[in-house]
Amino acid sequence: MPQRTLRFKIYQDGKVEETVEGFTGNSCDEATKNLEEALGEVTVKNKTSDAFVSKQNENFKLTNNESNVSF
Amino acid sequence: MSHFSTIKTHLKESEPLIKALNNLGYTINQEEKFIKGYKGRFTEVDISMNLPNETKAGFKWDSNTNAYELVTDLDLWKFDIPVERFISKITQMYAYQTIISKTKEDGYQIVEQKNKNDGSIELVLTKWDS
Repeated sequence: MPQRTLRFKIYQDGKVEETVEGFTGNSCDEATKNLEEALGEVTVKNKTSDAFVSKQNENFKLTNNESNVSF
Repeated sequence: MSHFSTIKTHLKESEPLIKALNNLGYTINQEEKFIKGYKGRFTEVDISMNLPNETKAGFKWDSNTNAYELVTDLDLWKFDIPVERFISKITQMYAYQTIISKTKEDGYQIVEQKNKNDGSIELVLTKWDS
């Protein structure tokens, strides 16, 4: 049972930044499709797929490299 | 999978628009349906408002833009905030109302809401999915 999180920043001019987290596959698109349609026009959309996971891997690799150097 | 989107808000639905106007304290006038607009011509509007200092304004559905557009006579605009700022405020509140009602329908709960110094509103909503 993953937790779904929606984050919004609504600027003074009505521009909205939306971050959708915790969905599997493409279900994140479905989750906010109706809302985005009701709000207006999506001008930028970035998939941040596995951003968190790849960051972790990077750190892991870095640690490995470091340990290689010290050997 | 996650995503990050930027959305330009358009005033597309009357319900959140009316909620936004009420929330900002602008009184809706149910009786008056004609507003003096561009070049002093009277235009029929869908939503009419009484603003301070006897400023009249309304919203009319525009089928070209698929959104509500403001109708007012700029020469008679005596409200203490400029018309551009007025539209911005309504658009921001419209976005807020739309987000609150649509996410509620989907079972989300507000866990955080902040009014930031830059005038923006930050919202965090969550839901546990079965």
